[in-house]
Amino acid sequence: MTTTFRAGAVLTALILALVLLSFLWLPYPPQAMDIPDRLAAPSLAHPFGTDAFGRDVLANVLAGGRASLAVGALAVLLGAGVGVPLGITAAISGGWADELLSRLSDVVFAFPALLIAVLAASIAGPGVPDAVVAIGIFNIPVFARVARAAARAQWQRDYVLAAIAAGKRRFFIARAHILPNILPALCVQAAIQSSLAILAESGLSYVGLGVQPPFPSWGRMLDDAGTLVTTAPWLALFPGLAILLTSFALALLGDGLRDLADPRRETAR
Amino acid sequence: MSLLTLDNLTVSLGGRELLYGVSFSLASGEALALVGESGSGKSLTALAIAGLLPEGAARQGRILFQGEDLAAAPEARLRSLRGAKIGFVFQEPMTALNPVQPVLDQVAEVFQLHRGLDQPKARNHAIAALSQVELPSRLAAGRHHPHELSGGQRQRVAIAMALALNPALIIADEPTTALDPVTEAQILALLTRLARERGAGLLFISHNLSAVARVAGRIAVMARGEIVETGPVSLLGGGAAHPVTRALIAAALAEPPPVNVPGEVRLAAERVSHLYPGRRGWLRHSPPVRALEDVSFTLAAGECVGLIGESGSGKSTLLRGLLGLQRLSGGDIRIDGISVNAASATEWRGLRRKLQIVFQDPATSFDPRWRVRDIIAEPLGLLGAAPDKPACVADLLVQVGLSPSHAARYPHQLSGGQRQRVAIARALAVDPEILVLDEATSALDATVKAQILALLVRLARERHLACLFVTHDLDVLRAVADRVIVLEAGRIVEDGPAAQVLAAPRHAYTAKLIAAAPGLDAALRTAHA
Repeated sequence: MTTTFRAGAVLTALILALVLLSFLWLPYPPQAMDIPDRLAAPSLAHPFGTDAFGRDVLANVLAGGRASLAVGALAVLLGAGVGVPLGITAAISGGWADELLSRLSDVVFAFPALLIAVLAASIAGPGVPDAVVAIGIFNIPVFARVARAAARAQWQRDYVLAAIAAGKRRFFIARAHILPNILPALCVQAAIQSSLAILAESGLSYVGLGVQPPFPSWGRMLDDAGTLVTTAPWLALFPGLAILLTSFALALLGDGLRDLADPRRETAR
Repeated sequence: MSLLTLDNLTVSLGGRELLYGVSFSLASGEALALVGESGSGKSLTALAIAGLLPEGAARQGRILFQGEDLAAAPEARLRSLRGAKIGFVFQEPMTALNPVQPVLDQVAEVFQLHRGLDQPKARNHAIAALSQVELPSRLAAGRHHPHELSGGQRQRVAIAMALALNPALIIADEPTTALDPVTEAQILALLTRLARERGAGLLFISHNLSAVARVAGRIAVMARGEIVETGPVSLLGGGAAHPVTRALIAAALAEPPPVNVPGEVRLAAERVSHLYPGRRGWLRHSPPVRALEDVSFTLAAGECVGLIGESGSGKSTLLRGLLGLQRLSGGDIRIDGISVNAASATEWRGLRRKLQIVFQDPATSFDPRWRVRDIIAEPLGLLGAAPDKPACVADLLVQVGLSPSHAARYPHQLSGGQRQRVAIARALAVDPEILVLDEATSALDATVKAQILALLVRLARERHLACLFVTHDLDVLRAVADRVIVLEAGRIVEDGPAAQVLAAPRHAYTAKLIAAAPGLDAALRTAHA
């Protein structure tokens, strides 16, 4: 158990606990407006201050975590779940299958996530599922490429030849040898992509395709704060800190997981 | 006055003493070889001289270079000595060169940095330096990158860089280990000639005694961080006192294997040919490459056959064909009468049981995340009914000279020799009829290599295995082969009993190979005739 992993796990658990707490208890209802008390600086009554409608920022940061974390986690799961098998398949089949999958991922890359989101929204209607699908689809080629490059390097190794000589099928080799050995690269990528997904959600919310008002999300709060940042900096500070801390926690967790999964780490230290 | 004197050099890292009281001296124009197994401290000694010890290493004793104590010299002084007065040649030229810079510019850079020349002048110097290492002028003057050169040519470039500024001391750390014997002989001759012409001292580090006999005038034998014996190179021919030296010599002087009677034919290659199709793109055309042409041979039970040939001779293609990884474009390979080309998927499972392989590099031939017991048990799935895996694994470990307790280890916890034993156990797990050894001992020290070869010969005899040793190491063939097949440019140019082919080769190419890699006794004879 490394220090990195422990720090990442504790921090992630803390953030999750706070977001789960929001279902049971919030200092104020997140949508409750209090116009006379609008744009109040942080105080005992409102520790994180209030926004332009007098809504409590702390309550919104806690409640906004639900949408942000859900979008981050689900979009990465979708991207990795589809992208990693595709990437490994491309790497080990080579030839036209590899070419086809690589060109397809180029095509997906060529479409901005926003366009995919408009498409998904026209089918499912705007909301969290729409954001997850749009950002998830955008993540597929990212994971496919990382998986393909890493798997190709592993596929050249003699132990893969040995497994072929042992009569193992490609599917078995991909699952038992390739996947565990490319996991470190995927862990790091997943940590990066989930922070990017949280930010991407804010972009989608801004044009009305992500989380719908009056439900908050960290990204939306950041965007709303944009014009007021000189008069009420706390509006941007606290959701920004939440995103930063979450990214940091996930990066630590990803790094720690990678170290934990490496049997060589005991002798490396 | 001697050029370099090590006086009681002791190096420790993390409380462990890695070098202990190392003392020797080297005169200008002299060639001294440090020999010993890996881990004996040879390379560490070289790094200590150049002040390149790993972080945290503590050093005692004196390193006198041209009368100056390098152990007490500040880092800035060492930096100016490295390259200018002390030239280094490393084992793997690919990693010593910058892959994205033309080699000419890399050599020119040495002159720019140390002599302050402008680029055109430095390039002229570089071209001269490259011609001295006999790099074809077409390659020297062109803007070629390292990947466009062969391994031998890259090592020539590395030597040109090391010798560019006429250093007084040349340190060559296993400079030819990654090369085939013909190239190795050329590089050794080049290095020796250049050092002698320039009157530089040469510190040559190697575990190949035959190479040492050709290069060095004196040897220092190292074991466990100490120098155990020093003397003239003729010590290798007899008169060595220390048991470590004797063991190294015994490992290098291979005993020919006992004559043995082959059984029925297990594997037959019939007029095998292979043509790699050329590339026909819009931008790039390349002609098809003929990798194998009319290759026919047989392999019988109980027979150890050596297949030799330089890189590019078609060995790898043949091997991939045997394993069914490459569909051969002409001819056929039959294993126990079953055609490899026509085999169905289910027949292939049967074939895999009959033919197993041991790979060259113990570092990449295992999944680093698997324990030894899972690695060895992997092929057991080929044996229809599930056998008692732990018992099988323990039995196999004992057979290859390991203990059942090794089953729980990871590959990185084993030494190179132990890993190769595990690879052999994995190959033997399904009780194959044919064992292919692809350079299986080339990454090992001489003494470990001799142990592994002895193990293989014993197992082959006991199990009546047909063994195919694919190698460019003639010492391996001298130790194990009953028969030798020589492959050149995709064709078999010689096929006959090992003693005959190695003693009296009929084909010019075979003669060249053997002259390039003499055994230790032959090397000593010619070097001091």
